[in-house]
Amino acid sequence: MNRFRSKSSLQFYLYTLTLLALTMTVILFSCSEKPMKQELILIEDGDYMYLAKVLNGYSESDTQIQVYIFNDKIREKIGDSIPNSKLAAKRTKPENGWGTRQLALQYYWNEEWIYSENVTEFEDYFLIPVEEDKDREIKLRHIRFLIPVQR
Amino acid sequence: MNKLKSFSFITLLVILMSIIICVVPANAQTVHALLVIMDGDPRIGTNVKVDRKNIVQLLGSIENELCEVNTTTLLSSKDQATRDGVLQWIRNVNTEKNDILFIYYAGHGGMNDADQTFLVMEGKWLLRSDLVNAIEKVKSPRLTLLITDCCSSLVSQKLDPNLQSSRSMTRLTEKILRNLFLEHQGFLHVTAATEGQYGWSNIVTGGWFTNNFIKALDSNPDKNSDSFLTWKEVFETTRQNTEKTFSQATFTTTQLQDMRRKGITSQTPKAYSFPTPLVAASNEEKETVNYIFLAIVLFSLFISNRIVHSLKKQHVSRRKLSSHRSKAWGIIVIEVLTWLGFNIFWTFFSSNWWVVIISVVLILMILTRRSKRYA
Repeated sequence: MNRFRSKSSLQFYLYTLTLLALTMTVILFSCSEKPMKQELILIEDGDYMYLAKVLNGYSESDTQIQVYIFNDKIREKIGDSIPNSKLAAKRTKPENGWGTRQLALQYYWNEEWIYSENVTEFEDYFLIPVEEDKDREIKLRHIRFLIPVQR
Repeated sequence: MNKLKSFSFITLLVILMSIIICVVPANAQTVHALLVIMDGDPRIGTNVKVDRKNIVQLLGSIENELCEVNTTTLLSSKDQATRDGVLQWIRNVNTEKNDILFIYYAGHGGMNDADQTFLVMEGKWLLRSDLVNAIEKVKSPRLTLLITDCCSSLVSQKLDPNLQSSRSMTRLTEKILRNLFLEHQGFLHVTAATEGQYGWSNIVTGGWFTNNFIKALDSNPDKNSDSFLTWKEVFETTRQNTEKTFSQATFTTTQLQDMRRKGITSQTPKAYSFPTPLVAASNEEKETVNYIFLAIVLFSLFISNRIVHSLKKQHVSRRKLSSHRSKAWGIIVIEVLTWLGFNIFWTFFSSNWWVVIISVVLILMILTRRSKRYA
């Protein structure tokens, strides 16, 4: 009987241990899980497009989208909610990864917007080539894209 | 000795010929420029103003460096840029034999169902073919430039109602302007996009085609490094850079969907015709002169061989025979050296008179010295 009891307690012990391990694994996975990928979009303002982060999920039928616009002045001007019609494009990761795509854009430097080509795009910043100087690392809030106009 | 003199004479003749081909006198002339700017259009009005600024700067450089420029600007904001206004200007323009006709258009364009490309002016189409026909009737300008920065995309027969409606350039060098505007003749007919494609612009650079065209002039795109800039080289650089600008642009989702639907993947400027260079720096003419040199050297070899052969028949002494042989080889060596010299001078100094003159003097000195030695 004692023997049976001890076997049963051993089984119980093993079950508990397995359960604990599973719980730990779940906790570990939930803790190490990467944060939800934030969706970046380009919002239209006049002749330019500015980068913004979508705060809540949205669908095509939504008239308003909750966003965080990186550029301070535009955020002050537009606020944290934009009409769906202002969503110009979605920012996508280049096929070959960040740092492989070159773009033409304007960046804010010394209180003016400067046009530049051959700008390398990274996830959190853009690398501006500067002649006879070190490349400039520009944050998302100081970037805007020119809206192409067809003739 | 007579034979030696005649060889020297032929060599000198070839050098002089190459100099004559190299330098073409540029007579006084006038550029008659017509700028048609659709600045009244609500969509592209601001963009075409940038183009106008760029082209006015180019014409300013021509006026500063080369010759007189008579510019007429037709603005749609002032109701001047009309189909009839353009055709009337072309009919009335008074050109002299060496003048340049420069027509620039920045506005909307398209292609109809019959694959005819056109420009849009105040709601009316001006077919490119009609424009070219009118230009071809202008009394003999030496060079005609027709540059249009507009779409060549397919549009429906009904006009789109929307269609009805800074970068500073460094001063272009005199050499570039001379090459392009004084040392070409014929018809340069280029446009921003190939049939079926859009011509794009933005508020900062203006039309991508015009912007890259001006940038190409600015960067001196002498691809073959022959010290002579041709319109083909300028266009090729413009084409490559316009395609690059397209690839680096950020389009809206709507624009991307529209292009995907129409199968548009780029903006490739199109050239309908190029003018031909007047100077001999073109490779074809250089090739011709090289063939002449080759013929002269081969002819000299043949003649010297014949002379030696006839002397052998006459049983002249070995010493005399050897002397004749060395004379003949001397002449051939001089010819080959002149040939090499010509190619070097052509490549590096084709535009510098003084180098050509010094080279002729040097060759003359060598020839005289050799002649004295043989005498």
